Amino acid sequence: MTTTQQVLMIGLTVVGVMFTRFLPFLVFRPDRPTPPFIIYLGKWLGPAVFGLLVVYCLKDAVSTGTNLVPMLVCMAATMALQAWRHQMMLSMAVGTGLYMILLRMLGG
Amino acid sequence: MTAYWLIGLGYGIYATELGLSWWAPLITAACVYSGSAEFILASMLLGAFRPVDAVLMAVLVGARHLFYGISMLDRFKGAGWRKFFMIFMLSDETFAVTFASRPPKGVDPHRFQMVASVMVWSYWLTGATMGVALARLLKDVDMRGIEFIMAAMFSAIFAENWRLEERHAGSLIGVGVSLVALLALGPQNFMLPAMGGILVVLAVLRGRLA
Repeated sequence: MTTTQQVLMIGLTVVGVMFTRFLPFLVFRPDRPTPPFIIYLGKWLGPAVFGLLVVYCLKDAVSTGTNLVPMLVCMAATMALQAWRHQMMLSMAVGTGLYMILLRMLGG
Repeated sequence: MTAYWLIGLGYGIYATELGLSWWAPLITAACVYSGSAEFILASMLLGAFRPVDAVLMAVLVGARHLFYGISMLDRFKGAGWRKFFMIFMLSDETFAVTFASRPPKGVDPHRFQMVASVMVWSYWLTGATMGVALARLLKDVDMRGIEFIMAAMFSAIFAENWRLEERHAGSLIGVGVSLVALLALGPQNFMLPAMGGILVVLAVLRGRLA
């Protein structure tokens, strides 16, 4: 990708994110009820998006097989630690550290 | 807030270790200002030029902001020139910090919101800047595997959502539809169909989940 293309990708991401931040202020009024489908999406879309993002992290490992096992092991470890201690920083640090160690042990 | 600063630091290190120029993580931290979207964007910048993927990813990953906005409609009313910046800076962390807090007596609530927003934004930007600087200082150190920090962040958030939800339909639909799309279409082409598929499945199941 050229630098211009990178700048364009960044600009479009800014537009996309800012669309989600500004839209409510442009279309909704505080004194009118929010459309039910929006409330419905609000409840279910958030967790679904993070499901997609978890799969996104695995996309190259799944298709090439490279580092798939250490990735799965460390993601499971991160999730288990989060479920147990509820400390985001701890889960991320241990998961990432474990992955870095596993890569070296496997000679990758 | 320390944790938030550290994630910013992690983002700066991550983006630099991916091989991006120093300006990319700094501009995205300042202007996109949404951690999840920034991590995904950084990884997309290494691949092919796919502008439609970028904008739709940003909208979907940012969809939760709609609800922060809806919650703040009343409070931001009449904020004048500050309103644009208050909306621009309404990130996860800003919302978490300001939604439940009230300004001290005698402090203008819009001024309070503005100052808090700028502080949170500065935390994120300085964290990312320090991350970029640190990664460049340590460029001779073997950091292989540090890129797992993105997977670790999304895994931790996924587990946290799972812990807090009564029903896991949302999380399961997200993983299920995306996995099917990935296996069927491969890593280059699965994102858009996965996003569309999630919306379709949610729309179809509305009667059973609402």
